[in-house]
Amino acid sequence: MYAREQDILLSAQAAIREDLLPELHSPWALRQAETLMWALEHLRQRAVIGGDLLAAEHGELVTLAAQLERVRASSAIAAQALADVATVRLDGRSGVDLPSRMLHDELETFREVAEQIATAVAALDPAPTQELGELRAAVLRYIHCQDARYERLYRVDLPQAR
Amino acid sequence: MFRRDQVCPDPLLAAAAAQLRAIPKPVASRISLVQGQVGPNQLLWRDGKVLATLDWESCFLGDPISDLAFLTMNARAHVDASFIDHLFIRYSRLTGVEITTESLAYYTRFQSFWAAAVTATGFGRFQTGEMRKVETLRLSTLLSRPFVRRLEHLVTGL
Repeated sequence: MYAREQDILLSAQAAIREDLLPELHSPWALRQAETLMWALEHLRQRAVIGGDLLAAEHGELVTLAAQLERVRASSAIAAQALADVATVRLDGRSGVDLPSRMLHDELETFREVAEQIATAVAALDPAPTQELGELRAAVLRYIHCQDARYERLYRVDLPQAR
Repeated sequence: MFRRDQVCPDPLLAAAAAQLRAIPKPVASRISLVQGQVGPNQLLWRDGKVLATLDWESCFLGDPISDLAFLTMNARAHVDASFIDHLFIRYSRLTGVEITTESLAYYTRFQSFWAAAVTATGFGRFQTGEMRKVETLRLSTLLSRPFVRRLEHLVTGL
């Protein structure tokens, strides 16, 4: 038998709510306890949905990276516009197949490339080529979807502290 | 500045910065002392009168439309459009400053970017160890979310 993540987080929340809070009296201490409850609840919800969100983001970024190379090769204009964007090596693995640490490392790399793409094309309106316009639309769509994922993560339903 | 304090890739801020650089900056009709984060919570009131204004750490010399843009960004959730229109009419009448759609749109985008970038620096303070408490993370998250959501909508149009 071993304690799962959910078990540890729920037990910590219970300890704060039932053992610690009744002993606290200052507004500052109560405030800190509420903040700790928020942190634990966030972790608990992230343990449930975080993996799916990371996998979804990874899939979008792999698609974006592949599109980047197609657009880069499409014309000299596109190649010039994307000159400061790094090349990403793709090997066809899906996010759900990667060990957790490798997924996080790969996501970090892909996010850096997404940032470089955004810097290169976000202001190209209208874009000088159709392919650059499509890449612009794709990176903006990724930004939109990623913000929606963050919204899900940070809209934490805080359990009653008392 | 936002790159200096950046702790992780941020495609949204990068896109917003690129778009701001590409937009022609409005020519200010006058240069004023701009408070930088005008809102009801920056004012002390008594008996319906403003006694004092607070939080001047963000002030700069610039276009006063910037303050109007920040104020209306925060006020729109609490007042209707007619209030905003009346505010602009009264402001223009008292100051002689013309409020154009282009300048308001530019500074709404600029202030959204500024607010999102500044509140995100809380994460940077956490990473450097200056402010390692959970409260820092929570405040950075909760404070930044409304500004980030607004900025995302402006940047992506989605």
